[in-house]
Amino acid sequence: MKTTPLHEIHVAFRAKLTEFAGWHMPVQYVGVLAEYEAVRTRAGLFDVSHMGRIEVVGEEAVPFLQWITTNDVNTVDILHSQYSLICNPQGGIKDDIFLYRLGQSSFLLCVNASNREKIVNWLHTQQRQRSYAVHIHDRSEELAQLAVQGPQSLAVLQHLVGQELSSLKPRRCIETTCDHIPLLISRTGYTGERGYELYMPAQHAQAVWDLLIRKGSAQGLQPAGLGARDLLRLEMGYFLYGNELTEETTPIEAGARSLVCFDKGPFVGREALCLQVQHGPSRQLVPFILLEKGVPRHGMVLYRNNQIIGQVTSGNFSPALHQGIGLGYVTPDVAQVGALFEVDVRSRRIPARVVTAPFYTRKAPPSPTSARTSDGGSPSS
Amino acid sequence: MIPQDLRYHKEHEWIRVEGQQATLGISDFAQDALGDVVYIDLPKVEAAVTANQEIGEIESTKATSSLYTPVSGTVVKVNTELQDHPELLNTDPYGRGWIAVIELADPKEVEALMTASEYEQFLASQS
Repeated sequence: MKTTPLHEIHVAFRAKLTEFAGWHMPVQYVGVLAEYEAVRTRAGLFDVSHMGRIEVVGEEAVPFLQWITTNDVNTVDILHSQYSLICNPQGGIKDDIFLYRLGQSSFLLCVNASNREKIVNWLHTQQRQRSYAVHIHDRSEELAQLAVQGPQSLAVLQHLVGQELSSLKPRRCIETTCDHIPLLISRTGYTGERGYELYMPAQHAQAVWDLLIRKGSAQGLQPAGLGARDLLRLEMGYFLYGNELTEETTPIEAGARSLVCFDKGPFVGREALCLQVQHGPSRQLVPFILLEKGVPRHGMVLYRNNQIIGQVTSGNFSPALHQGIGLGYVTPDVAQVGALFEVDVRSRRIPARVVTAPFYTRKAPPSPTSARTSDGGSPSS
Repeated sequence: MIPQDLRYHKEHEWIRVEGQQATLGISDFAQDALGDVVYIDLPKVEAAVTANQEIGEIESTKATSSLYTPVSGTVVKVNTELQDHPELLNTDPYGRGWIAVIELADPKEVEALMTASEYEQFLASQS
């Protein structure tokens, strides 16, 4: 199993480690609920170095990424980022990514750990076949990635860097330093709280982690693992690749039509997705809540009138709602908000209702001085 | 960490025998492996149960796990406090986190269960 540059620290913090996409990662340090609570009320520190970081540079970087991704790269200013998808020619999703524009023709793609090799190969193949003047470098090993998430994340990070961070709006990023360590800080995350992600040279990851923990303790910062991360993202209705998104599901089915820009010109998957928009998808992803006690889990079957109408892609117990919540694909006739169906929880049929995402709504900031801004409705997973 | 006066099952349940009744719970090892418990599906009072039978389910933030009874008999009491406070399974697995009381059908079954020292060895062999 691969380990991140912070592996020794996780062991020292007595994390429970688990295999995730070929990586030995902390699932929890003290407990999933305590870490969840830290992120919702204070701040949590995540090692997300297992994710892939791919640099795309060169004079044709924009047309290349317009061809590769579904969203419109032209709308991304320098030091802004964009949530986007990479599709196959059939419109199936190869990955959901975060695209950072670092210069006119310089981009960093943050891809899922499980898809890193596949995407690197795909980018190289597409570049060769269509002869784009771009260079593709897999920087995953050279860079580490941390996420600081929670209402206190700004205060925590402000200890580290001289630059004023409060003006950094959602999806924006800055290049700065901390103790002479170069940092790329973006206001992005996968939790629904105000939060930041930090990219740094791998050899400095431990130093940055230590500094954050030491200086952030006043704000109640604590390490958080993949267990809390999954719960936090699910309460927001954010996708997890491999669950909601696969090569066999399309953005139209997943309800991610807003990530697909049909007007920008040709891109991989465009024809297939156009057709699906015209004819309508045969299934749709919906958020749902259980109306009785129980916890839906990935793979459970959904019924209406004794007919199978779909399947759960993700489910858990929501600490915010105090009930079972889930995401699942259903036939379009059951996809409207308010529609009722049943989840087969180990041969018990538990009634469920389609709701709107997110399941969790952030509380208004406590003081009138803190701006009531949204950190955006889509994640970097 | 492992109470001496209890008997243990290979699925990590414990029982405390008092007369003809056995109180049942899950071990500290089990609660630690499960992670934060968010919901428990308790057995029904008056249900007749057989040793090694699944009698309930425990949902944690990580997964769903089955609850087994180490002994046969009739469920005479369940810990309804767990419905509102499932976290007691994590914080006090041998005390307030008890799950059910079973009227023993065959007290000899208890002898087949592990003692504390046997359970300790069993845990060591598992890791």
